[in-house]
Amino acid sequence: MAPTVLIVDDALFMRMMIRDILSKDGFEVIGEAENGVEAVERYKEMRPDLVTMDIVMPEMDGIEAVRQIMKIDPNAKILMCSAMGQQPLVVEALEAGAKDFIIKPFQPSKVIEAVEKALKS
Amino acid sequence: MDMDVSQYKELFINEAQEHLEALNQSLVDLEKDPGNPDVLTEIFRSAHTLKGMSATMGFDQLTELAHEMENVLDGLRSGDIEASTEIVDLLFGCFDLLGAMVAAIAEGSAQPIDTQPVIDALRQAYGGGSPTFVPRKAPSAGVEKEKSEREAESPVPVPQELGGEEELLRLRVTLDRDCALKSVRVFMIFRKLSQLGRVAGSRPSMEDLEDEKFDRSFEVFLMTATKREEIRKELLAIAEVSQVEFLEEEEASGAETEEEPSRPEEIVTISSSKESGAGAAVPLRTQSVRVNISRLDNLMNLIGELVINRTRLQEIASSYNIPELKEALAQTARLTADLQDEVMKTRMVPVEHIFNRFPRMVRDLAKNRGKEVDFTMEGRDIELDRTILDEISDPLMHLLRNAVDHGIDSPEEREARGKPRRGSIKLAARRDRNYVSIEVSDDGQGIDVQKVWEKAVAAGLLSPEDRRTLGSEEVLRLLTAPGFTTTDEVSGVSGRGVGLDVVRSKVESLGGMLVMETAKGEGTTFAMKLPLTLAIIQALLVRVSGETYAIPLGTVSETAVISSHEIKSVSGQEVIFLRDETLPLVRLARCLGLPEDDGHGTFPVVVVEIAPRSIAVAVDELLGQQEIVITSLDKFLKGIRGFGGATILGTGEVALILDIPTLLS
Repeated sequence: MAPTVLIVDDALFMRMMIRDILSKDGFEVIGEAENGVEAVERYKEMRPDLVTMDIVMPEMDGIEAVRQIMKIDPNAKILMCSAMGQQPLVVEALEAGAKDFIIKPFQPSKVIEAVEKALKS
Repeated sequence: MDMDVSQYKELFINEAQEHLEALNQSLVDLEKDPGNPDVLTEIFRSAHTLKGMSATMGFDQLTELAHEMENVLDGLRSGDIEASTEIVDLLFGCFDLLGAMVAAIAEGSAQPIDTQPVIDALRQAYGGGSPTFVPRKAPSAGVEKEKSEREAESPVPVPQELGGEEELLRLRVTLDRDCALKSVRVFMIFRKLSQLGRVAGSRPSMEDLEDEKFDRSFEVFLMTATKREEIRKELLAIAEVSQVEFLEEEEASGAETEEEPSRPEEIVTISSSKESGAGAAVPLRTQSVRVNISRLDNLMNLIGELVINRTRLQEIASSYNIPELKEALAQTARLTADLQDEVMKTRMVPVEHIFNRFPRMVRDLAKNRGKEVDFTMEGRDIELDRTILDEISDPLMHLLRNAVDHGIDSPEEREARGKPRRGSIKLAARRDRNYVSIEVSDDGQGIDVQKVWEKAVAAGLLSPEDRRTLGSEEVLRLLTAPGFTTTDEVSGVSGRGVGLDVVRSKVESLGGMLVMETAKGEGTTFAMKLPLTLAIIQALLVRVSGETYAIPLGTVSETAVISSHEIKSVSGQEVIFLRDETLPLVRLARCLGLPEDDGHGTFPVVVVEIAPRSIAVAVDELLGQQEIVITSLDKFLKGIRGFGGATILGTGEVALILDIPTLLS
């Protein structure tokens, strides 16, 4: 069974890109969400093996979403997607329970590495 | 491994443009309500997303500009920078530049765009000579805090292995060559280490590590009872950690050779998961798909052909009287109607798509003209066919520009007239049966009908006698006549009529109408009445002198049969009376220059609505209502007024579609 992934990002463009990278490597993208609120809902419904989570998003940001998902499932595996210049936010997200992070611009090899490692942890 | 991002270009451009529109919109809001944190967050988020997207696409110049802009926005958010007019103008300028760069990308233009002046201005605004992409001081503070917390916890570490004896280990951790955000990686590594033991020190110092003052590797002293293999495994589980060595008296070689085999193993797992996943991974498209508009056009054309064929089959069925075929066709008719409906819906786009850019435009223009304007929009969620929407963007811009330029009076004039200093302009969309009405109204000085009238007479467009027969609406229609202008109507350089003829002809070419209402001193309203879609319409088929014509049902209000003795004459114009209403009568045959077929006692009339009045059009025969597929007239025939296109009927006969407003004007 291919590991299942939920992609959270407010930009459709980013979601497409992550989806393509992950799909090519045999992951099954089972859902997308464009803000934190949706992300938490989708997580409840789908229980994906992994979540890729953007930080800056409308409605609810990625960090708060991580906190809420961790409350629902303390074993949730969440990978933060961050842009340069967001170190404090990344640290905050890691403290909130995120497993790891990837940096935009995405390099497919890095994304896959982080995803594999997060899944194994 | 670089990836090919060109396939995402179109998506990037679309989304980048959306973000720029949102930015413009939000900044207009911010200017009205400077401290509003929600609006600021909104702006910051759009800018941030734009930056991330640009970086991903490798558009460095765009990324740099977005990054500098983000710094200013950050300052606004934190309250360090005030949302003064200069800052707002600077940001607007910045949006424009970003827009130009995105447009250049869209066009594939290689023309370099000079961003330096704007970047300098942005840097000056946030007082940062700081080079790009350098993290602020905050991260180290975060790591510092984290570290001290961990250290406080470390007296009671969770022993990973019971009974093990603590020893001091010296580790060398090496990160990937292209590791991003090294300080955060360091944070993750130290967090992990403090779970495994107690960090006694590091080389280089903790501070330097947090400031990323190291190349790829650093050394850590760890007091721990955890087994080395365990530590190595845990650390390698962190992304971008490429190597973990244990140093004992300067000999690291053993560790290195031990480490090598573990790497290929990992590669194997990756590739195996690739294989197992290939079959199983059927991605679910849960959200939306972007489709090129030409695909939808094709789909619509195909459905059009299908409708023509269906009509044809229906005619065959009735002429040979085959009940089974009729029944099957009734089913087909329902299906094609549903299909058509669905495709139509997919083509519908909310008007906010084009509305969103207007607040910014109105703001700039008002500022430029020294006017104070409150701009409001209504019905942004009303949907219109994408093609129509694209076409009306310019005419709408024209109307709004007119409203600011000529409609709204200057603050001083307004005060002198006892009106509030700030004028208001409203852009509203509403659904009205088979039409969508888009209105631009202002509370400005209105149009002086008397002046228009005098101008028209002076220009020889009307004779003084016309005044008696023409209502003020008809006089106002002159405003939309090509070249007609009333220069002294307004103080500006151009008259109110500027471009209105262009607006009118555009709206009419789309099968719509332009209606105008004005009250002197109180304001003016222009309303565009537009059909929901262009491709397929309901039409009334009529016969005149042996020819079949189609009249769009949208303009038809009713049909009636009258006898020739009911025709009266009022000042030389034929009229009929229908339920106490006097309607001018137009004989279609005469209008089209066809031989008239008179002599019969009764004939049908089609009552059409040409705002603001109704007109009765006399025809020879009513053939019935039918769905027709519009084929536009090509370039040779396009200029002929009075025809909105042609259609192919089920019989294979070609019928011209009458464009009643232009035909009768």
